[in-house]
Amino acid sequence: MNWLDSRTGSNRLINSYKNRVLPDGASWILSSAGCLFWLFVIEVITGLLLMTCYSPSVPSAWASVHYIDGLPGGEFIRGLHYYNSQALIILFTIHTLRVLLMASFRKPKEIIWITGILIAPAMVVWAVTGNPLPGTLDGFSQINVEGNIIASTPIVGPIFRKLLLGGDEVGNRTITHLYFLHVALFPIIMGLLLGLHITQIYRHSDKIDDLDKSNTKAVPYWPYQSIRNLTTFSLIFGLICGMVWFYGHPLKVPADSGIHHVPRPEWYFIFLFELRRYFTGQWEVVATLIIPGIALTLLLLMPLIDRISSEKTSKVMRYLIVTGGILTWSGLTMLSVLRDHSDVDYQHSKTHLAALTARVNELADHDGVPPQGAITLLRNDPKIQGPILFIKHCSSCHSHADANGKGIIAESPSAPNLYQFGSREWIQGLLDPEKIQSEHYFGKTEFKEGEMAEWILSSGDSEEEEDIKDFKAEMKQVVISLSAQAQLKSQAEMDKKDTDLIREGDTVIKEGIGCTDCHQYHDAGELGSGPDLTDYASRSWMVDFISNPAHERFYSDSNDRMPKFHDNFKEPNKNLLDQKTIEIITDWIRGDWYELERD
Amino acid sequence: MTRRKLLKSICTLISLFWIAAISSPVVKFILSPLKNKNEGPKKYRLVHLSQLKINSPEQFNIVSDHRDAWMVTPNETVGRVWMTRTSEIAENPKETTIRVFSAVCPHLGCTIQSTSDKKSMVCPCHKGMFHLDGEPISNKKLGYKNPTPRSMDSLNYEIIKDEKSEEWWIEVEYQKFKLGPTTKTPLS
Ligand code: FES
Repeated sequence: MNWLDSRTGSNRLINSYKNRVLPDGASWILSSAGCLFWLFVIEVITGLLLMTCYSPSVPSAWASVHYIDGLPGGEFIRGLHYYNSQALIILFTIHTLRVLLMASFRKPKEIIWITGILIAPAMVVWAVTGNPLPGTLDGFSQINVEGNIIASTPIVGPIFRKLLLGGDEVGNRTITHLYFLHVALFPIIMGLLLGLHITQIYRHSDKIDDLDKSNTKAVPYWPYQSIRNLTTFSLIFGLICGMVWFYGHPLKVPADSGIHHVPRPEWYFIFLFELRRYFTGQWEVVATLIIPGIALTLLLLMPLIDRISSEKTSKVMRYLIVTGGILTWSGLTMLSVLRDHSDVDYQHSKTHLAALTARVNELADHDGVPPQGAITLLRNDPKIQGPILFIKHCSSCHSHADANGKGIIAESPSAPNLYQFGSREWIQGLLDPEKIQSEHYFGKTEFKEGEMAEWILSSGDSEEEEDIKDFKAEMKQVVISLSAQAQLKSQAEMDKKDTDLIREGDTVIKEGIGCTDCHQYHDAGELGSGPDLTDYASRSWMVDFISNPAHERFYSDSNDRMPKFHDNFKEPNKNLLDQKTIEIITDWIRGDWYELERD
Repeated sequence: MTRRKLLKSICTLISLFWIAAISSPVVKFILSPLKNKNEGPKKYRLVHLSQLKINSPEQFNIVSDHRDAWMVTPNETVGRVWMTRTSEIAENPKETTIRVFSAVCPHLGCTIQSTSDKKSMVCPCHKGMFHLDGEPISNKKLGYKNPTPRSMDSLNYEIIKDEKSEEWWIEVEYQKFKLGPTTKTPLS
């Protein structure tokens, strides 16, 4: 120790801690300061740990955070970083209010007060710069709105916004900028402010040597106050750990401007969000700039105001500020929460996002994240996109609804219902004389009176009971066999079990009842009159069909009103749909997507 | 002038010189985002005229190569528009009337949606409300004031015929506008 001290003077530091005394004794209220210090240390440590894995760019941010969650302890450390930051904000507010009430800003402690008041906004901004870093939808819309609020400041606003976002939109440079602010600039600013704050505290606190001997209340800071500090800290930090453990902090949906949602700021900003509702148009700066600005200046000037007013007015004023502040904050927050509570659109968007969050994490766990970023996971997911795309591009004619009418009902059904298209039930219905002319199949199409319907209605008619029975049995085989061509995921097991039946059915199709008079089926029959039955309703068959139903392989000239969705290969962007979209719709209709197995 | 004084001023001069020399690239580098010029209006073919629904607003994506700092993503959605056909397709298709609006909310830039009954438009962020013709719906109630500074931003369009396929297309001139001002001003 002496060796070190003689070189560095380190004992001076330790002694200033050891020799500190509290003239009025130790107290629980005072522990907010020490507690904040340790929470701050934890925030820095967890932050440094996260930095070892985090990658700041639009395509990699979400992926790297998801990866962190998968590492041993990763999710816990990220959760700590998140909850701890909010604990810091809460505790810091409490700390400031208690200093205000105790008037601990009086001469010569002005600088302690001023640095403290400056730390408050710095800390909030510090937290705010961290929120968008995981590349989530919430985070990106928050920074987008914050950028626009900045831009609404007269004159300099737009310039600041551009510098912050690194351009006109939230993008790669926004992330690198925020990352810089979050892990470099703000830590430096906070370090300086905090350093000044703490050295000032020690400079103006009482030391053992200059203590009045008659003061019996006085106790040394170490360990009488320290034990209180650590107890409070343990309670608070224990609570944080508990929250992380029980609630966690799931990684939300990655940013995608295509997802409809109703963004909200972090809870500590909701009061400003609400305040803005009363100041619209050019008055908006009042809510975003002027009121917070006045509040901050007022607090900064507190030592001065206190000096020129009498003890009594000062006291009344301080109590007014504290109660007024708390009431305004909680009142506005309450108003906003209540409003959202009865807002159907908001509630809807919340549940929707929760579902997407669960799904995207499942997909990322299962498939990993491609280099284009997590954004593609949901965009290419048939489970999520299928219904949306079907409604947009198919449902003006096709329904996709089960027997009870649950599902997507066409605006004016004029084509077959595609629910479970290609399955045994679906094909059986098509080949059923009672159903083929219903609106679920050919009822609303030109094929209602077509050759196929005619054939179904007339075939199998016979005088002999035996013949009818035989025909019915053969049709059953045809159904099973044809449906096996679709290779549906939902029928995989049945198909495997029925290999023999399927083989028999194949021969019936090729040679038995005359399917191949009009249709091609593998090596039998010819193209030209009816759709190709080879691989009927399989993925590639459907993709080709949707791309061009009037192709020789399908309906040729007899195609009804179905558009060619993708038949221009020279100028691909002149097609109605791109290849990928068609594949997603196909996979969805075929029920072919990854599903997490739950036990 | 004493020798000491002279040395002091030389020290100051040298420091000032280097500060001046280094600050030029430093400042330029920091201000580099301001150089970022916004793309002017660009034309996009969005949909066949015949496919556009009548009197029911529909959203279309503006798809283009998207440059984001060091990265160019092909075929990204870079904007969204709302289109409605308001008349039957005219004899001369060019005379069909349609409405084309940017989906960017003039308030703070969220994406405007249509209400579920398709009778009006609403911005989810702060409940900016618009009639189908883009005019703001006024609401006087305290705390429910319509925050939008102006009506939805209309976009220029043209109905043109594709030479090869003979199909009539709607071609929209997409661009962005400043958020906040009470009149529509292009973002430069
Ligand atoms: S951004 Fe649309 S209402 Fe505020």
